[in-house]
Amino acid sequence: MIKQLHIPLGSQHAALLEPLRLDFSTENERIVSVRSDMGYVHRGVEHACMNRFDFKKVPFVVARVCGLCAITHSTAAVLATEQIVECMVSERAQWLRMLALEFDRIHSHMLCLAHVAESSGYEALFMHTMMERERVMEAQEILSGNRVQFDYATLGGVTRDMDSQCAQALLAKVGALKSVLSGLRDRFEANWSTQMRFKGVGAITLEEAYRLGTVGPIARAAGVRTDIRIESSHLPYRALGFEPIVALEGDLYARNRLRLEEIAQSIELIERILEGLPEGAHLSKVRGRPKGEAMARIEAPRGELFYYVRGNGGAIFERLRIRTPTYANLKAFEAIFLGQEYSSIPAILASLDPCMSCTAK
Amino acid sequence: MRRTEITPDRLLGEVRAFYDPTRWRFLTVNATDTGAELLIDWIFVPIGRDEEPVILSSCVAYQAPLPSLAALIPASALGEAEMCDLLGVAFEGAKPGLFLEPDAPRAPLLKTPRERDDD
Amino acid sequence: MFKALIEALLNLFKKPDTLTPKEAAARAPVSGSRGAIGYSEEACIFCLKCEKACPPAAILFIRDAAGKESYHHNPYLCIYCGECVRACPKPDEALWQEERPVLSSSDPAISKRWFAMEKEAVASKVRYKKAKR
Ligand code: SF4
Ligand code: SF4
Repeated sequence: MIKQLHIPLGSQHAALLEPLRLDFSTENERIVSVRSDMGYVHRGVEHACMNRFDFKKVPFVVARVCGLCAITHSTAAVLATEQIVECMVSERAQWLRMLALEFDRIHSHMLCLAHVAESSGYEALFMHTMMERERVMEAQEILSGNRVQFDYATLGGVTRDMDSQCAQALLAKVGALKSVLSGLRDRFEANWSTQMRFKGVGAITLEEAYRLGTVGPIARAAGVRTDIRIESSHLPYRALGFEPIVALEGDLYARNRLRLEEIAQSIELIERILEGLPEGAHLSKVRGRPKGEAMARIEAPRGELFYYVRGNGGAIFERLRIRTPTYANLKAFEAIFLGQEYSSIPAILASLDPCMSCTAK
Repeated sequence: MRRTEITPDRLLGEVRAFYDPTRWRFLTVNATDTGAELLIDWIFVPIGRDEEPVILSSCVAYQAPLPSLAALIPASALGEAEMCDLLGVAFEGAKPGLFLEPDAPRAPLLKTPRERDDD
Repeated sequence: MFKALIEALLNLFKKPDTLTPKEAAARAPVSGSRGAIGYSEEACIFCLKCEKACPPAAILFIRDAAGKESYHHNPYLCIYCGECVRACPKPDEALWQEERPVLSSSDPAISKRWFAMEKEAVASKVRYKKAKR
């Protein structure tokens, strides 16, 4: 006998990390339809940046859009603004920005993995992942002076330079992380019970991923070769020999594996950056006021982050538009949930790594 | 930023002509209040290639009705709803309320925010 | 399975990775950590660059009738970004950022007064200009 059930999840729920509301209809345990609502934490950041804060302060304001990828927001805002004011950014500053972005990616991916473990009932792995993540947070504090809010990228460069002592400390931290990464991979990939929990769950096909305009790890795990690090030349990722990683299955297991591989890749990128860091000034003067319009895209941990700025010669932007990765993936979320068991929802949702405070800005 | 000027009624045809989801991703639709009218940009970016994005754009009067791309590109519905909410753009099928509460100011990102018509 | 069992047993004898509050308080701050903002009136030349640069407007200068500026900082509004120090022509002398964490030793009532002080900071400068003319 089929029993129809209507189950709302959120906007506040113990298994939810973010204020998102999902309305599920299920037939027995299987989900047949879903509707999402996500505007719970709208704070009017765009409005504030267009009315209150002058353009030099905007990178610090937009960093507060999201606590997890603060640096990606400020870097994207800075990259967009620098196209419409007079300034020369040194190669060194660009490399340091990439360094901060890669650290951010590692800690965000580890947080996501930890939550996947927790939501699928593997509490010990959650603790373990969070413990190792702490090394990255410490590295971020060494780099920028703060664990969460970097305030690192600023117009004209980065806020502080790096000396060899700092570079050594960072290398030691990523070295420590590297040595435990294989253990983590073992638990996520080779563990018998996690395999049962993850394989074939929450999958999205390649066609769907294309059709729904999916970005970031979700798209890459389904086989879409998309990564803004190769799609835009704002940051010199090419000099690092970066190539995106792509998986094929598109399920929860593939997403975990992809994130773990991307962590290893980011560690490698960090080592290459620290090795080949060009000399130069870390910060240069910015002249003039924003006039004209520009857009910037960068690869945030969750996918493509887009900024559009438009200035009319005044100190305050005429328009600032943010499009965040979760925003682009929301349609794919709904497609992924269809046909799944209700009991898998928390784990799937965690593996999609939603960031609602970004999305509702 | 290189734009291709179009008129709203030509939008669907233009998009159909070049949009291949395996080569292009619909980034978002953006609206800007230029002071006299709305500048609407439909932005498409190449997937996996570092090339210029395609920007279809159109200048329209404030409350001119605009076609929706949602039938062709499901991901566009969200962007249209946001623009409807924050700038009062009249996309087909879009309703305000994505971000803003019912008692919030209307279209706050317009230069002269719209008066609330409390009915 | 066997490996996990051994690991679980070994973990019983490992030191916890976390710190007790006492240990945490005794730990030296990370070098270069962004902490409290310090200010010295003697060294300040009252150029007001820091007031202008601060993103959340956590620094205010209020001018009295004699033209003397007084510095006010709201540690609850401050985001510890360090923009003010970078803007200051005499960093490390007039305005600097310490490594020690910000303790909640300052007066919380300052947040209540802050809106009034913001208005006063603007008004006091206008008043002074008028009086001078
Ligand atoms: S650290 Fe930043 S927020 Fe704090 S007073 Fe200085 S400029 Fe303002
Ligand atoms: S920027 Fe420095 S010198 Fe100028 S007012 Fe502020 S503290 Fe004083």
